[in-house]
Amino acid sequence: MRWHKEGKRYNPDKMVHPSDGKAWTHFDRIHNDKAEEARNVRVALATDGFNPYGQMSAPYTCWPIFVIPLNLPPGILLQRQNIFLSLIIPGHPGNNMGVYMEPLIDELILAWEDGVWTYDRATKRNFKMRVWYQYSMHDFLAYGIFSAWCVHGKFPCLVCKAALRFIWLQKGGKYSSFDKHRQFLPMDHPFRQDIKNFTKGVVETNPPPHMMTGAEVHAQIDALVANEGGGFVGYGEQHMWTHKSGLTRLPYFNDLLLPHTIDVMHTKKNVAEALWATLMDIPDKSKDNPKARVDLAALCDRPNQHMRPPRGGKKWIRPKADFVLSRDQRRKVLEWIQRLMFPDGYAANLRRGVNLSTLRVLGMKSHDYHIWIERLLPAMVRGFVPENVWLVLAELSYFFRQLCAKELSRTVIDDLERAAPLLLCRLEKIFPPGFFLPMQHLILHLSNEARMTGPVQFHWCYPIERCLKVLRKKCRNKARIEASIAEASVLEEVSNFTTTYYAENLPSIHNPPPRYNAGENESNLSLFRGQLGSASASTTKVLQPEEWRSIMLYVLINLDEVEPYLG
Amino acid sequence: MLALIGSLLPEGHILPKSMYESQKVLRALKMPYDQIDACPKGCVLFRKDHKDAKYCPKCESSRYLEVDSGDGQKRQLSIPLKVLRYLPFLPRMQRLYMTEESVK
Repeated sequence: MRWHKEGKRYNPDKMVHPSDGKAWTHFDRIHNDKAEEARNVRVALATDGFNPYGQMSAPYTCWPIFVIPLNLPPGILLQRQNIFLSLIIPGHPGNNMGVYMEPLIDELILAWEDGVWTYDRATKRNFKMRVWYQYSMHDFLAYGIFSAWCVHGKFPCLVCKAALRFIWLQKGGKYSSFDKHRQFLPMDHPFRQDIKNFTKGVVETNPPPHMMTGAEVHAQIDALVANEGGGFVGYGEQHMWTHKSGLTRLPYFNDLLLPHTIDVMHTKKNVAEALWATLMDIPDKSKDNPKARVDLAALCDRPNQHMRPPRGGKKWIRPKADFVLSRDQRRKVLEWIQRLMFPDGYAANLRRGVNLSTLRVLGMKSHDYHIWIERLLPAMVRGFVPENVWLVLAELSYFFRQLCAKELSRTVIDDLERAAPLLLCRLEKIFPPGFFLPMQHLILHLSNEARMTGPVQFHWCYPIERCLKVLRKKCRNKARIEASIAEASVLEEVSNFTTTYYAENLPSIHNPPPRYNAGENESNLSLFRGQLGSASASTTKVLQPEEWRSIMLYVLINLDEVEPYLG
Repeated sequence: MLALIGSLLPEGHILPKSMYESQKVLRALKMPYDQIDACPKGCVLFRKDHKDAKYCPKCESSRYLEVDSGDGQKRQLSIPLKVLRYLPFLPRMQRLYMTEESVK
């Protein structure tokens, strides 16, 4: 529990733990008296909703809130036994999140102001443990509920808040962040003067919008005036605050540089999903649909992508955009995916979902998109799309790959921060306005979040989603969902706790059998000894003479026992 | 069930004789959790000031299940309509400091 302070960092430039982030050190500087004691615990909160009834269509969700101590070493920080389930909210909390969070916040305030006496096994003494909140992680919608900002509407970005007003697409019927990223570029950047490739005839002269600090946000929330019939004055026009978040009650809330984090997993998955559907031109999912083309005609100067009136028949023609793969190319891509092989444990089997008749890949999950956008995308479209489009897509892929590194370099973060608005602008030059949903805009903020809270793996939602799966399996009594989750979690904590006292070699949940069949092989010959357990049942194979000769040669050359007979 | 498995084990085993016995062992290890009744519409939690309230102080909906008592009136049972379960995290943090392995 003291790793964050005393653990060894091998490279001072690399961030390996949330404690290397700027938000953590900033907080430590302000509250030096409390931060000095390494045993004081920082926690992260995580929320997400899930449907405990599995795939059944019951419109019910259960919202667990997890508390994660961040003091632990990076290797075990997000292991399941260290993610504590703290609150089980029955049903969707909606705008009453602050009410349900009350007991949790009360305990956080108590642990900050008074502290609790705790027995420390290492020093065999009691000490006063203080606990405070460091950051929270959610998917986008839970983030909105948790921080009390509505993410539907013209101000969906939770970082820019009211400073960035999205544009309404008439035909698409949605808000888009198209041409909103030029203002983040340096003032003398040529893109700002470009009147052809972005919104037609518009030059961008605005400086980057002002990002509110924690204190400003707090002041704004405190200044909200309640309406007669509920809600706050100015909702939907000046702000999107739905309620007052319970977290603002924390006495140190203003000192948190980044109280909530955007989830990289969901952002990346949604970006990759939209990109995949657009490149592969999947009907109903592609963002390059007729509606997007009509909006494009209204906003941009790209006449070769306008919808063309029907020639004779009734159907309007959607000219092929240069970033969409043709039918033959799509077939080739899918055939390539069918032949793909990954290192063991690196990715799921993508080949399984390939459907050559509909030209789709079925059942892609968030991790598949993670692998796709990081590794496969640049190779997949090379040569099929024009070079300038490929370059941007490859840059997007490289951006995510660098961002999701296990050890995140501080210099790389600076580069990424400069690259992100430029990357978005270059995407805007290629894709239609309908492509730029709030998720695509969030790419802009990811690098700053990583600078604040360390490597993304400590604030992305993969571990939380895995926990939800575990909780779902705990629902034994479908009429008493929350009770069965609570009882089973308490029991699991007991088994987690007791197994730490077991002997090293006993099999337990902390000591699972290895994934690989690493049995000892009993052989008289040195070459065949060692951890060489077979991977599957043996099958008979008749060797060709050449194969036989080469195997014999290999064995004889590498066998120590042959040595005396040689030469 | 436990008795059946116990009869198969060699003499001197320490398997609890019954489910009740095993629960008695676990009871000491299990951490308690709070069950806090909530307004069915989520306006308030019935704790602190509202601990004994029977109706929500904001929207006046009933805290407990209501049944018709026969004379046109509603009668409250003692079954709460919505229960929030809170597992306090501080004792769990304290427990982390109690095992040698996790203190490091």
